[in-house]
Amino acid sequence: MSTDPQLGRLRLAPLIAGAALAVLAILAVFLGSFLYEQGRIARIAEGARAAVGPTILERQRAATNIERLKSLGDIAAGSPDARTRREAALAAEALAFHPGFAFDPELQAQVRAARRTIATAAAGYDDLAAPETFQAWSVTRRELETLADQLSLDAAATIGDFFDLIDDAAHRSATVSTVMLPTVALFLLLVAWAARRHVVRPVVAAARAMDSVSAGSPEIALPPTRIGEFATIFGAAHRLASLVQALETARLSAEEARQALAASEARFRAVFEQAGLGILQCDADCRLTAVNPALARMLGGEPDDFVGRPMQALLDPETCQPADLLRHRGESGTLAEREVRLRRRDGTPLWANITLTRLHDETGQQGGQLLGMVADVSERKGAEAAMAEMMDALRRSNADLEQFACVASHDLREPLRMVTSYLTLIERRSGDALDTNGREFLAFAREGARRMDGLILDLLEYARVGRGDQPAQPVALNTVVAAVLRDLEILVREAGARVTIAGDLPVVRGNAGDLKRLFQNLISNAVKYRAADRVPEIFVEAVPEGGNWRIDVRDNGIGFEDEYSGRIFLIFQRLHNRAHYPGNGIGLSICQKIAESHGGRIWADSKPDAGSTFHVLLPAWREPQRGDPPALARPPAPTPASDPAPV
Amino acid sequence: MRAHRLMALFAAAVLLATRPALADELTVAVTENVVPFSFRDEDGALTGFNVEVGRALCEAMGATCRFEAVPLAQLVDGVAEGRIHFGLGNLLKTPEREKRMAFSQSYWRSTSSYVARRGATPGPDGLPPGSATIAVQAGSRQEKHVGEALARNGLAVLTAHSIGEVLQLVADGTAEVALVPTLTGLGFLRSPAGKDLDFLGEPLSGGNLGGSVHIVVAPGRPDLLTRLNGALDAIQKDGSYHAMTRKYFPFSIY
Repeated sequence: MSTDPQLGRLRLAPLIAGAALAVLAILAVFLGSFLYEQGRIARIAEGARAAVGPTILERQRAATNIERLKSLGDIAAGSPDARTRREAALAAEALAFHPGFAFDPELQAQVRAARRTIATAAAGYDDLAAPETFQAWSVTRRELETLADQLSLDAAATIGDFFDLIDDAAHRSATVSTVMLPTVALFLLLVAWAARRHVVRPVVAAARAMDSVSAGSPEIALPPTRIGEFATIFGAAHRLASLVQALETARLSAEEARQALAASEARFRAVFEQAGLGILQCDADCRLTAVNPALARMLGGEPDDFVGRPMQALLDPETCQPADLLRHRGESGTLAEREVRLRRRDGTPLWANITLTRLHDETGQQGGQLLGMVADVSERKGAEAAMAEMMDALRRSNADLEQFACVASHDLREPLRMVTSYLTLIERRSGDALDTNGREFLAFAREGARRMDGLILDLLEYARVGRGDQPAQPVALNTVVAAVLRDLEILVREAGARVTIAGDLPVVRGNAGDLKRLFQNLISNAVKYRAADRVPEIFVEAVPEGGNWRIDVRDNGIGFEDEYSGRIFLIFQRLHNRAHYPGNGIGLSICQKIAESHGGRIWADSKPDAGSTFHVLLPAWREPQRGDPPALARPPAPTPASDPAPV
Repeated sequence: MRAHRLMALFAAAVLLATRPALADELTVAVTENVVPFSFRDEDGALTGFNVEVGRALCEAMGATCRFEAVPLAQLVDGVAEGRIHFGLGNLLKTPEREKRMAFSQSYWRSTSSYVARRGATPGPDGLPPGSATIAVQAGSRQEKHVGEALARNGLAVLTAHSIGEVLQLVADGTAEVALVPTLTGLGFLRSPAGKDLDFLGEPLSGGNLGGSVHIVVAPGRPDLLTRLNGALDAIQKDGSYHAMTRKYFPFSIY
């Protein structure tokens, strides 16, 4: 509002100058009138001194001298001494021409005429005409008295005129004062009112606004003004208020940031102090500047025991040099993640995983300071060592077992082949000699030998699968399942089954031969246990599950009770009569062994006459990472099949 | 300490400002043998109207005065040269004199009159017809008037240092007429020495022969002039001036 140019078009300086000029003009008029009247009074007073006073004094002296002249005339006209009369006449002569009568020529003429009467009287004292001259003097004397009286009256009149002038001047002065004083007072009141309205109020408002701003309040109320200077001041006040508000906002933000920083610092401090993970900080010279209690406990001391020492002092030089830790590895700031062996204060070793990160300075650039996280991996290292020993033992055991299985199967099959051969020879040579029961018994024996051979072969296969002797490779299940379907083409066609592959099957990590055997068993089982009253439908689909793939093989076969969902994976366990569904009951056991040897598992959902769904969880393919355990070393996940179930 | 020093300076300034400005002795001159203005009595003491006025002024000023009776020309020169502080010589104010000295306010007014033997009558020029000599006071306004207005062939101008001597020239017949201040002539005519003399014609006031009479003051002494004017006002207000005029003159000469 205050910056509206329409409102601020008036300038204060010209207004003040104009008001000052008006005040000066009014005061000048008043002062001029006052001085004029004072000058007039002064002139009257001066006139009284220069004219009235001397005039009165002149008349008084003239009246006095007229009295002297009368006395001189009396002497001149009446003294019997001629000398006295002469002296009086001479004095009257001198007096009559004294300049003291010059102010009134008529008076001067009358006085000079009287001096002649006096001179005549003085000269004619002894003459016969003395009485006439004395009478003439008497007349002159009365005229002189009249003159004296008139002079007195003139003096009195002059005094009266003087006082009239004084009264007139006083009246004029009073009139001027009566008129001018209220006028000046009214004008001054107007000026004061205008100054209060247009100057004082804006100044007070500006002052209050400044107080409000200084008190921190951004809300200020300033009246509209037409004065340019105040508009400028008000604009500045508004800008200042905005600035104060911005500063307050910035202060609050800074306070929040400070509090957040303090909270972060507290959290960091708490983490630093209470973390189970060891934390260290060192400067650009790899000198420890902070060690948290967890690390101190790992190293067998207090944090102060390590602060200030070089980080190299913690390392066992046989396993790691400081330069190895400081080798830059990437933009993330992480320098190294190494499992190193540290030295406790008592000299005992401590295996630890150290991750170093370069700290960023205030500008966001990587600085020389390092932050290190130290994890005590002694137990894991011990476990890994124990596991390695176990794996070695397991490998030896597997090799022994495989050797045993091979040998056992080979050695077991050899007597069986001998039994079978001789049973065949007995049947060929003596079959006719045997009665019906004999031939039947012989057939039973040969069938038992054949079944035992089958069992031995299945057992041999079971022993061979999932040995993990082949390195893990990417296996495209599309290719695997397609190969399986080619192998089972006749079986599928004869059963009239429809196999549907839902979408693309994934690439998993494993052994292609084992996985082909797994899916061959599942699909052939789905065909084998088909329902007689409907066309076999087999669906194969893959579902991502975490970092793994779950492959579902669903059929619409005869199904089974859910209580047998674990039993079916036990070796040589069957749910159906061999006469109806031939087999040794080892297929699903092989599937379970293959799945678990891949780090996965297998389980089944089924309901009688509603079909079954076999789920196989297999690890998705990823590039092998350093430290990945061998596939056989991975402990198998617990599955329902592992649970012992009643048979 | 500083306040005491300031008070001491202030007191010294007050003392300097209030001490008698004319504490030193003033030389006052009057014209000699001018009855009744300045003359010597039977005891030889200097007296007269001007002498008493001068003493009254000195008393009013608080000054110590030393009076001298000198011829008019010497009085004028002495005042003009500063040897005489002020002089009471019945001097009229003229432009020539104002160039040489300062004048006080008027303290009486004068006219001039011709004085001749009794019975003489004035001619057209105011002098007795056939007059051959006229006496005037040397250095007086009357002398200048005679030289300017009455110069004619055959008229001899006799000058004397004092008015008494001028009038005596007429009384003893050396001069036929004298032009003198009226009041001075009046005093002489009323004395025995002037019994055979008389005013000739009416007193004159034109041609600077009449007017206000002033005390002349040495130039460069405005302080003395101011004090003198103040003293004149004082003796008029206290009545002493009027008493002196009444003592020496038959009427008010102011």
